[in-house]
Amino acid sequence: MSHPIVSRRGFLAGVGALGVASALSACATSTPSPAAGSGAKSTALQLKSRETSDGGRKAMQALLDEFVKVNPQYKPTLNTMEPAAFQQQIRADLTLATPPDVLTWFAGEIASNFAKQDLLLDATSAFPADGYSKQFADLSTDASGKKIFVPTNYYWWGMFYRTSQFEKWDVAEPKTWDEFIALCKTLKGKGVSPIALPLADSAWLTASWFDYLNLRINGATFHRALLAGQESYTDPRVAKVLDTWREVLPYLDPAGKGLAFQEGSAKWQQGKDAMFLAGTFLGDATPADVKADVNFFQFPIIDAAVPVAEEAPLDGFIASARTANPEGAAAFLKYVATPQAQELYLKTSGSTLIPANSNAKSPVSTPLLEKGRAMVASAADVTQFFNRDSNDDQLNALTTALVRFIDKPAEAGDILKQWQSDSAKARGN
Amino acid sequence: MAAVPKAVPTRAGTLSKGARRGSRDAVVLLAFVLIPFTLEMLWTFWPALNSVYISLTRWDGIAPPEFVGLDNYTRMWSDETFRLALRNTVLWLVLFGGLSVLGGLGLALLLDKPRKGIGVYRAIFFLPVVFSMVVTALVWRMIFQPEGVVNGILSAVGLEDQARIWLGEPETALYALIVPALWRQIGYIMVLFLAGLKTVDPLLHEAAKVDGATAFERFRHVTLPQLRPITTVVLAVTVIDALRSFDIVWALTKGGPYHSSELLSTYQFSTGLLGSQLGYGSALAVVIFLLTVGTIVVYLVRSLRDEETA
Repeated sequence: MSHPIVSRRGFLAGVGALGVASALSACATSTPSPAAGSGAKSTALQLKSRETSDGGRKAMQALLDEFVKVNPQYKPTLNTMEPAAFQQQIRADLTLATPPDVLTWFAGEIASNFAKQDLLLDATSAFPADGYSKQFADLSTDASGKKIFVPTNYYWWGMFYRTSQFEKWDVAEPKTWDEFIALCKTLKGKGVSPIALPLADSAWLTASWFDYLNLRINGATFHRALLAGQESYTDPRVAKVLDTWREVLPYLDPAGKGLAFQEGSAKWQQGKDAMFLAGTFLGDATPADVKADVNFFQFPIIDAAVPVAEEAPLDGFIASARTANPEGAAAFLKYVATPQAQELYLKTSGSTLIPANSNAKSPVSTPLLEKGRAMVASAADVTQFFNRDSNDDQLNALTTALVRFIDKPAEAGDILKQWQSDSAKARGN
Repeated sequence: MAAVPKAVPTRAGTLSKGARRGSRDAVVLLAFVLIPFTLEMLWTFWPALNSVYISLTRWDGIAPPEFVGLDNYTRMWSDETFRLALRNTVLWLVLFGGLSVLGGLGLALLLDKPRKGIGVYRAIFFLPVVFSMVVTALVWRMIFQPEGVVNGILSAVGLEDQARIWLGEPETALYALIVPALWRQIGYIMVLFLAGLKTVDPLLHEAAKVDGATAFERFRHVTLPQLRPITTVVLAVTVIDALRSFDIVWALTKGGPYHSSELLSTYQFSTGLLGSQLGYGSALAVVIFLLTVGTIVVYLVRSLRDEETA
């Protein structure tokens, strides 16, 4: 019998060449082109949500149930995914040929980038003419002037503490940076660890300190330019941020670098750490009997000449440009922009959030919520949060720099140089 | 073989039956080769080749990728985090690999001889292999906590000043991670060596004993040479396990604080998957692949050459 003579090596080389040739045609990296307008119409409406909490899931379902009562022609389904996985998959989701029709998302740079790449449905027709502040309307608009995002609610960041503990230690809320440092000193003198900053699984929390210090010292305009790569981290103004932060480092709980967020917030809740720079989610995670005791103060003012900006991350919905049901998606976006829908959502979820439509009332109005609303309303400018205003690659560069700074504050100059280089590399230039 | 008729066929029917059986066998054989080959191509080689291509591009996962040649690879040399991750990976390979092989072999030798209750001991050392890595990580997180077991023991024996935040300090984080990884791997390597020791001929030992060989000499000249086949397996397994170590590091420190416990695997994950630098992330994956294959090939070539000269 005669065998065709193919050596094993020759065979493998052949297979390899075939593989490389077809890989070069870039199958894995090709993205389907946007669905043609004349494509198949569908009545199915899939909402993909990253609200995994019990309340959040129920509230999303309640929105869909109400929506379908008014629009019985659509068949909505809810698909909930854990936030980290959701965030990782959104790029893939938006480029699918049959994507989820509507998705939960947040305002900021990432949404603008999606819009730049034509991944988002034009929501201009769904956006109400009245009800949204100019700030929120601007945050929902892309570079070409069309609306791409419908905000539904926001929360705020502040220095959270427990009223009963502050009374016990006989201390009051500080207004300025000097008062804040004095407060830290007093607390430490009483044997209380002043500031919680758990880093084991949540190094991203350092971004809240950087954001606020930079906003208070250099203002929102410089902050945005820095995050957009127009300014450098080696700028003396950024060095000043670290210099100011250095004054607080002795008052951070030294155990923080070994604690996870859960453990850190438990410690704060038990009064072992006095203050915690966080979003309202910190209070939402406390037991019912503690909730009324949770309070916060505005991040202290450092330079009175700088217009006050606050972090108020805005959440809402986007729709995919490739949706097979553009009318349904637009109808849903229109519905969630209404005061009724936002009130329904907040009532069902029970979270400390403020409705984005100013005509909506908070269904459960607490003193904490009113204090937060007043603070954001009086702010001259609003930012989203470091990674929402930039992206997750930039956040990685930040945590590397700042965790190292907490550990080795003397190396600040070196750290900023490294940060600038990491940031530029992640940006690809 | 099956197609060869046993006797000279007397009827035509027998021949055609035999031939038919033969061709059916050939089809089955071909299917056995081709189906796994196709699946493997589709699910392993094809994505792997694609990632080689992606490593030559700059790609954020959405916009069309931009071909940049070897830029991603040259970028590695100026990337301090990459060099740190590479150094940590080599350190991990040496410490985790070396200690788990030594520890596993030591335990296997101790627990080889049949004795009363030996099964219980073997089970105890094997038990960590059974736990999922994430559960292991949870347990060790508690052990390493600022107010956890390690620091508790240290202050109980009067060494409070040695207490530290094991996973939160760059000087200790990597070593603190190797401990739970070893705790698990040693049991696994022990089982492999126990199986290997079963193949050692006891007669040789007796003969050596009669000739007056000491216990160490018998280990060195009788046991070790006979363990050679299993050692090859153990080394391949260890190198692969060391280079793909990811879960324990990710679950405990995510490569932090500030990259001090970063391995190539975690760095690849955080740039390519969590971030949006798919090109650079793929280039890192290719480097990990080359390192793994390279190490194993070097070892195999050497051991084959040894065998030939022996």
